[in-house]
Amino acid sequence: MIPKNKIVIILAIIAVATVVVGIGLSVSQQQKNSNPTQETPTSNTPESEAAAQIRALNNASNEYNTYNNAANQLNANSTSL
Amino acid sequence: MKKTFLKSIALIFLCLIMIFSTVGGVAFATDTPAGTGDGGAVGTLAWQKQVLVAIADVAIKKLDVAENAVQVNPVLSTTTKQAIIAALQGIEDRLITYKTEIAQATTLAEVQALNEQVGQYIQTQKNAIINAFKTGLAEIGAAAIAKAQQFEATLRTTLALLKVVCPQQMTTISNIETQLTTLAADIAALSVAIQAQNGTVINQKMNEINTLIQHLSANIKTVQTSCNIPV
Repeated sequence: MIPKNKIVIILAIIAVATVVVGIGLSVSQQQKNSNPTQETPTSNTPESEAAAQIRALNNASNEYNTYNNAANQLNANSTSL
Repeated sequence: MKKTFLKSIALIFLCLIMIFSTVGGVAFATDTPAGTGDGGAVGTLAWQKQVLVAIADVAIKKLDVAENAVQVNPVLSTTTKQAIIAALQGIEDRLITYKTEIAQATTLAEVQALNEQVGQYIQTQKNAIINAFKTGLAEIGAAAIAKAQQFEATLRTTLALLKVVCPQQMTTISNIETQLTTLAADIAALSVAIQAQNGTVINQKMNEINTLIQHLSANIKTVQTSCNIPV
């Protein structure tokens, strides 16, 4: 027969342990949420990196072309006057 | 930057003063109001008014076209657009007033005075318009430099990768590196032209850079295709 006071102590320890584990899990989840990329490290190959750079290169080229067209248009307006 | 049209309009008004002074010599001597004197002077006055209004109409139409084109320019800032359009609209408004004044003129002397006024107005406003366009070109040039530098930096990174993944295309890669040196020089030259607000050189250098970027992109595509680098 376990004394009543020991049961109370055991229950109290279980309650405290539950709270501590709960807090720990919550903090861990918050850390995951704030830095999700750490969970999924990328492993790009040189080929895929080169492909990504070429895509960025094409975008920059297109954007420059837009500015060039705008400058040509403005120049044409000014010379027409 | 050429301002042939505005210059021509201003000169036309000033030349017409001289021509009309000669052709309408009798009229200037008599300075007779319409309908109250010799028929030749009245006919000359009516003809001159008609010609001048037609010239003003052509100028107004050209200014409208330019204003609309500036308004739809996809790159210019609102502030710069407003400055250019305000400069053009100032001349347009003056020409509209001029047309009304010409229609109401009753003597050749009045017409002559109006021509002098509008000619001088256009001459004084010409520089403001030239400067407004220069500012616009410099603004586009500065934004274009940022894009060209972005292209240049990305290309350097790309080349470093291509040397690893596509060494069999080393000749093309070397050509790209040479073109990259030219690109850097052109960007520097464009920067100088922008500082100097030299519209002609800004436009010329921007076009050169654009052509070079197209060639560089084509060479990169060659390397990409040759080494089966995914798109």
